[in-house]
Amino acid sequence: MSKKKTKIDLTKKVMKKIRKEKITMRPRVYFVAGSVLLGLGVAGAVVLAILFFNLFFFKLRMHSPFGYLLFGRPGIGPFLHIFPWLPFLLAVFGILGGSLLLKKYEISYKKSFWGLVISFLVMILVFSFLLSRSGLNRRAEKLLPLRPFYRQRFSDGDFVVGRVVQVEDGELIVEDPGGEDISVLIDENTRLPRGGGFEVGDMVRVVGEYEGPLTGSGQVVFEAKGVVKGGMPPQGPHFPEGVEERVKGRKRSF
Amino acid sequence: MLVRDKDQEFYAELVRRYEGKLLRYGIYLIGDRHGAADVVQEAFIKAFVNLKGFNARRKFSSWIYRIVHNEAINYIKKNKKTVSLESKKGLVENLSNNEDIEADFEKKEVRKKVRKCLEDLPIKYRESLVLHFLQDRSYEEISDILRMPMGTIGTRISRGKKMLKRIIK
Repeated sequence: MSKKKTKIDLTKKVMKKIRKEKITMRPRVYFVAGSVLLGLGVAGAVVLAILFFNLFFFKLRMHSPFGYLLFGRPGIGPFLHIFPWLPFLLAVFGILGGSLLLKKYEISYKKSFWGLVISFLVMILVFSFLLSRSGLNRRAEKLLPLRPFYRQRFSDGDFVVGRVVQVEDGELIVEDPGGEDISVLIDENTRLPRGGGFEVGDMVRVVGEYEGPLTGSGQVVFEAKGVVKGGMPPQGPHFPEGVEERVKGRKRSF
Repeated sequence: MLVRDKDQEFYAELVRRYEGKLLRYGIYLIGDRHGAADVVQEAFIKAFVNLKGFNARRKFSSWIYRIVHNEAINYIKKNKKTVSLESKKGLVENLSNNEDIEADFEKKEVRKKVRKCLEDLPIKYRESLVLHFLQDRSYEEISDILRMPMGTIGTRISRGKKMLKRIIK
């Protein structure tokens, strides 16, 4: 049996297949549309990433979740609760999507791809940081469709954020942004990472656990494992009107 | 391009011009002549369908090589076991015959050694070496074909050469 290779006439085979199966070229508009969609995809990913990183930075500054880590282990739960996961994940999604789309462009291999991604990332982070400082979020959070993105719970089973409205021995009365007064009990085991000296009108964040209503007035009691000043901006929009008046004239140090 | 706008039959001329080179490239990647023929045929069909998307400012050869490369990689993924077995015995046999290879190549000595030992190289080094030494493609063209920075191509060729030397010894 001869081992000689038979010559493969590809031209004949290819042209025969094109004619037989009536294969046609895709119209130019198909490719133009593809390029336009690709460009829009990259632009959309960049805008998405900038907007959500802006929201992420804004929420980090407003709610400073890392502050809860000052309390050690009791602060981990509140940190995980307050950390702005959704904007962070959406922004990362935008970065990843944009990077994948960038790969379709010739520049992605003509230049160093990682260099390109890092530049892309730095540009997005700088823009979003500046945007988060611009006051845009203050206006945006008043718009009804955007409110869900700005909504934040300031108390849960293991933490409370609010404004001190009364100071007693071993107790702070804290008003949360919902307008509810919470009696925060402080004892010798309570961690005060930045010291005491709480005054009426201070913003505080407290970690610990609810004891349930113990007082005759039905006031909610929260046993503090740690208290620190800060947690919300002084100009935060979440407090009901009239709180400023309530705390006036009740200044006292703890 | 004339092919795009006037007569589709001119495409046959393009196929004729590139079929030999692309078939050899396919064989180097796959190690099986018939598999390579299928891959190249499919690549030509895809190129025909997408011809209006080809950027005429770029080289047609780089574009068609890129399509063959993609098709070959898909083929290798689909037929992993078969390809590795066939390539062991088939590559040298399929390419030892010089009937289709142009006589005027410059790197004759390198070419001979490369051909015998290529089958033992991982595909990422093999494809760069084949394109450079056996298909006479420049770094820039290889960069366009494999969609990698030229620096990476240089590194792969350099590493591939070192690996080949070790295999030859």
